[in-house]
Amino acid sequence: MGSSGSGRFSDYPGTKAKEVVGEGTGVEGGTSGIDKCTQAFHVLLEDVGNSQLYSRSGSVPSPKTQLGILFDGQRVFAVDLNGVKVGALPTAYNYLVACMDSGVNYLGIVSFSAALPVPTVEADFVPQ
Amino acid sequence: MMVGITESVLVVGELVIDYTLGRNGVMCKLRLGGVAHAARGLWAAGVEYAVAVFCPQYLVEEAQQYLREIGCREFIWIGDVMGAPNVIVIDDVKEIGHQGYEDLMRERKVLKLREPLPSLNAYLKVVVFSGRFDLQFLALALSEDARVSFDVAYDLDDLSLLASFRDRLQAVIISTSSSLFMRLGHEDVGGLLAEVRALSPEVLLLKENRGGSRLFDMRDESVQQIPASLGRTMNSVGVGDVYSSVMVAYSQKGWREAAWRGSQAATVYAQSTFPDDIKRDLQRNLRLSLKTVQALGGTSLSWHERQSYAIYLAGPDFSYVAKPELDQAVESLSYHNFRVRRPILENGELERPATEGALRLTYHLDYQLLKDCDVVFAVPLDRDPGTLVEIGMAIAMGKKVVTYDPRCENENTMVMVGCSVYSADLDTCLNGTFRVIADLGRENP
Repeated sequence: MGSSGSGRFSDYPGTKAKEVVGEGTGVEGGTSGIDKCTQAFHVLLEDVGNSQLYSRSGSVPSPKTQLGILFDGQRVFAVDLNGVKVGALPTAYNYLVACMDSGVNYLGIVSFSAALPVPTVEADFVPQ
Repeated sequence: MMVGITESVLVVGELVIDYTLGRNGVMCKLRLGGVAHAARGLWAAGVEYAVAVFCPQYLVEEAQQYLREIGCREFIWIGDVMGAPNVIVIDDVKEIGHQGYEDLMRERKVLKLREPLPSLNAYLKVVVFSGRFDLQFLALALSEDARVSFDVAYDLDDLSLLASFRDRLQAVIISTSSSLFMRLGHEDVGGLLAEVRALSPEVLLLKENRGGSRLFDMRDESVQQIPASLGRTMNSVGVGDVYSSVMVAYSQKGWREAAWRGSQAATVYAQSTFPDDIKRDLQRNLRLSLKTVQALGGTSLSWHERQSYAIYLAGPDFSYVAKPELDQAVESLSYHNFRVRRPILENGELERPATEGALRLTYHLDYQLLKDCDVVFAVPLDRDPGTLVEIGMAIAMGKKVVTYDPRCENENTMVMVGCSVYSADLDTCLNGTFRVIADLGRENP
């Protein structure tokens, strides 16, 4: 029987992630190659019933409607092309504020919506 | 500035090797640990720093090389570690419960200061991570003008050992995971505050894991709550050290901002083990104004508040059922100081077959307990019908339900949508429990 194991520190900066062959080794590298800011995401919006759009019109955007992302200084919202708030993003998406502050913008498309019995909107977003 | 004096933060403590076991879906990982976590955090935050470390001789060259790569200005080897390899084996990287740190050969471990002791005089801002070393040497080795902060998470059982730093103590930092906290502050934070006050630091930071942290300003007796940003934890090892070091580094901006910045660094560090990713993400986050960071908020639920809310455990908690996932969930909730009410344990397990009277009595006792509790944590193993009924009753009562479905047996519309949280991942359910209870606290202050 031979031996296997981790031969060195696995996280020197400046190197790309790679899986090390053999048991007891894992992944090494300085960067994973993944940047959450440049990842597309799918989201179920919150508080659609209390949003500007629903409060004004009693309706929700239909599928394929274009959306954007807005941080109003308090919370992250999905907005329509006129900047009207459609619904809030769950706080798990608060990281988008730092992404947008770094120059990443997002374009969204409504993938599902229903006005009754509870206003509901789902959307897909991609970074631009 | 005086000649020979540097603005770098000096990080003092032990260097170890962290080895994360590859299991439960987590890949194994070998990293330089101990104060190397603080070093990564400072490097990622763009802060100049140096280290003064205890480490075994065999590790010195490799550690120096690694730390140089992550911006360390000076590596000062202040002491050897003998009798043990200084290797920590880590079982639970997400701190869902006890992390299961295994410090190999710990009983044989001895730390020995080098002679002559290298000079630490050049550093005026120092953060010390307590370990198995005598702190008195530091009082002599550091410049009289140095301002010192202590993270006392490990290996310090008596705060009076910091007394020799009384005139230059900036921050005392402690975590709810530490044995010292369990002794001094577990029931009531007052005992801890009294002991810290006697040392006259500027601030005490109490890190409360997923519930955020509290900054006690000892100068004006004010308290600032810094919420946690609960995301998917990749690895919580060293996260607290990153918080402490970045907070100390930012202290010239005032302790409040410093604590928020430390918290940001900790959040980022928990979400990756890739240093370049951590640096990129932290740099982005630190560019946000403090106002924005505060507006985004997060989850605040102090260690002590958690006991104010009763969690009804819905699940087949029977003695004759194999239920390791349920037991792990209970252990996890208890580790985080939640008050878990277990109806089957409290009201008794029915004999099989049970009399009608016994059935009725148990039903009414369990129903009353369900009504009395604030939140339900459900583990519907084997699609246990009693658990599913309890979930439904709780939803109808307007209670928040967190459902942990580790075997993915209940992917049903009413369960998934009716519950506030539904997941096969305990980490997600634990975060969800923190969130829903913190929300209850906000709604009914």
